[in-house]
Amino acid sequence: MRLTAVSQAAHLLGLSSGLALADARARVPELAAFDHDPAANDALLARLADACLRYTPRVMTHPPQGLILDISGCHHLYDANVDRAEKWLATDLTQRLGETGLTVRIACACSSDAALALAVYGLDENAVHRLPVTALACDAAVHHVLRRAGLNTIGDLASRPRTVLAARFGEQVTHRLARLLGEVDSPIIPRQSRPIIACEARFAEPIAHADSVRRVLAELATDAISQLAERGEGARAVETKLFRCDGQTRGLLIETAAPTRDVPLIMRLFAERIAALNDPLDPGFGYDSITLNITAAEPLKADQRDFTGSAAKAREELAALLARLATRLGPERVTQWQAVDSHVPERVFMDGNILKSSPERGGGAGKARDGGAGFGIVQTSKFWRDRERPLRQSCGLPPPRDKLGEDLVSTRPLLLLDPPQPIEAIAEVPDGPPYRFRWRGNQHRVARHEGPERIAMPWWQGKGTDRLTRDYYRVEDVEGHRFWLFRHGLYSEKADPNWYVHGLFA
Amino acid sequence: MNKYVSDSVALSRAVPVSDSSGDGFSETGWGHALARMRAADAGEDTPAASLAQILQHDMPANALHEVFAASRTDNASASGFTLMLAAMLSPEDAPLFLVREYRGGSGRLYPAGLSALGIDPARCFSINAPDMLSALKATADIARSGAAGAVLIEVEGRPRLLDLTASRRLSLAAEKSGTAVLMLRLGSQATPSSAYSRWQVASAQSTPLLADAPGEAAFTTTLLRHRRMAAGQSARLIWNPEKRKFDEQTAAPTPQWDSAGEATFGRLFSLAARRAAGSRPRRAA
Repeated sequence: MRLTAVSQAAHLLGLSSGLALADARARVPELAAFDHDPAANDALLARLADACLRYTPRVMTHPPQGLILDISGCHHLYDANVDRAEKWLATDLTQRLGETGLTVRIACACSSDAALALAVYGLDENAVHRLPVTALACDAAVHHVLRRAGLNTIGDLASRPRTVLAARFGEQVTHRLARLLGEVDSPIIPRQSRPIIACEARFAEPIAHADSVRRVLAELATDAISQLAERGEGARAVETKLFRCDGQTRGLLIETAAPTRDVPLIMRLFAERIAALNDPLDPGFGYDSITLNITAAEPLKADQRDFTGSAAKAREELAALLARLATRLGPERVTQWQAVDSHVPERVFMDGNILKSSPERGGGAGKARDGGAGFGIVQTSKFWRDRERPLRQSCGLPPPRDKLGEDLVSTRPLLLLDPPQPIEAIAEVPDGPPYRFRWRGNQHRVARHEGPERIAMPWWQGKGTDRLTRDYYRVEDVEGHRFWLFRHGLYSEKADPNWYVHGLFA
Repeated sequence: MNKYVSDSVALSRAVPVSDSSGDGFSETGWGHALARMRAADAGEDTPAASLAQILQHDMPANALHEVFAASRTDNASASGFTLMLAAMLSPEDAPLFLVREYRGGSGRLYPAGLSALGIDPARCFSINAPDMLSALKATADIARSGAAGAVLIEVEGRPRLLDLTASRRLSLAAEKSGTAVLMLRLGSQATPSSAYSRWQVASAQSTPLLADAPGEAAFTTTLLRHRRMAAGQSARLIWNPEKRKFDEQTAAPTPQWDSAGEATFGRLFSLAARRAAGSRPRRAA
């Protein structure tokens, strides 16, 4: 076991990371060692990053212990003078983070790489040239060779022609050098993507009362919605962040099933979301800032209502209901069937998320079928029956007739068992339907049957038993229970194929 | 006697008062109900209506209806019957909500099978609640909102949470919004509840198609309780997906399997040719 990080006190005693724990204990017997927990580290860093969103919306974590804040264009919020604003920001940040018991080193520079290196090596803003070559963060071998060549600082490197450096040490060195010197932009990937509309409220005194918070949220939402209305859009996802004065942040996200500009609805969804939280909102000593961002929006035109407006009203009511249910239970629990391009019975559909539907995917409340309820998914029953048709034709069975036809006997069960359940079946002839079978401990004697409907598995997928052909039979037992059984494998494929029950008819 | 008194309390909320003049005792609403009750109190036996008639005329959409599966093997039939009720009690395009407590492993509804019942899968929204409490809460919410045509909740066994209060809450929500609430009860005996009607469903032998193929779904349905009708009768019902109503089929199909069952096995029929010719036995009118 080795040390991965040491405290300042331990550092003064001569311990450093990388040292074996036994050696460290030998030197400092009273050493307190804790298990390395990278996940907790990342979580802490993420929490700090969220807390820094109060300064700028563009915050990026640099594991294991760096935070990069893009403060371009944020100065004027603190002070008209750029230098004073930077100083104030650094002091405020040091003080806030210092209160949590962390050691903070802050550096400002014109590129994120330079700022990071300056902070790591504890230099001030205009000292990029005094950084050691290790700040390049290339291979240790490269650093070693550079030092052997007498190039000890970034300044030494910067004064040399780049082509020579690239020829001798590789492109990597010149590229990193350019980034450190701010010649090339070092991209910042913010943790939070840029919201479509951002609204913020700051308070002179922290607010802690739930009613006050709600009022502020409603004001922010009204503001954001009026901005959305100007753009002709409706909100699909709204996110709020509550900044506690002790640096904790709490984010809440709501999503709607259809674009909306209904502030009361948004407020109701937030109330649902707060009620569904596992750990309730704890204002602590109060929130000193609240932001509300529209993170997803879709076009929402003022629609032409019919005389009573009932169809549009029904659609709005349904969208609101779906959004409420999805907010309370979680979006993955409110689903609608969505067709999948497959002929394998259990893969014909999947549970589609109603919140993730978009107009491009063939649906969306914007162009819901006339009077229909379809949100993301507009496959009608005709669609589902059409799927069956080629299958039946391929086995010489007549197509199931639709509404205009005469009969509507389903060849597909009402309930599908997934995975199929094995049964012990006895057939009269090897290739024939089962004569009797035992399922869940009950003996069923087959009175009527239809089949087989042969469904071959896609040969280009899966292997072994996944590829066996299935022979499906619709059977009815003596008591009138109707089953969908299949024999797994042709006799040419498998010597002793198993039987399964895959579905139950009404 | 007591039975009717308790029913009249429930009835006073269930029957809409249609006139606005204020006396409230119009012929269509109260008067009709009172006449029925007086007749019942006087011991006059109203002739038991057939189940198909009850299903067509005496199933208000703004109420809670319960469907019990007769046994474990009848779950699919009970599910089908409940879905058919939902289709019958809701407008054709109105959304259907299917609420169930999430359990892995058991059968789930299959859209292709649903469309054969005349229910458009695009109308359906499934809700897999994490527990019984949130399932009941979601159902009540859906019923209250009025955005759905019908809401169907599947209940396995006899959960403690599903008491009279819970079912009364669902009934009231249904009455207020006009959304039908259908409760599918699997693996349970009938329990006291505020349901308007209570049905028990078992699979029945279907009328065979050509070549002795299984026909469309048939149920042996028993009316266990109804607020306004005499209960206890049982019938064999089939679903008519085009007209979205149930037909009663008194004549059970002849059990061919018994006499010649062994013989029909293994015989060969040219299915496509013969069934396409339309020689399929017609459904009884």
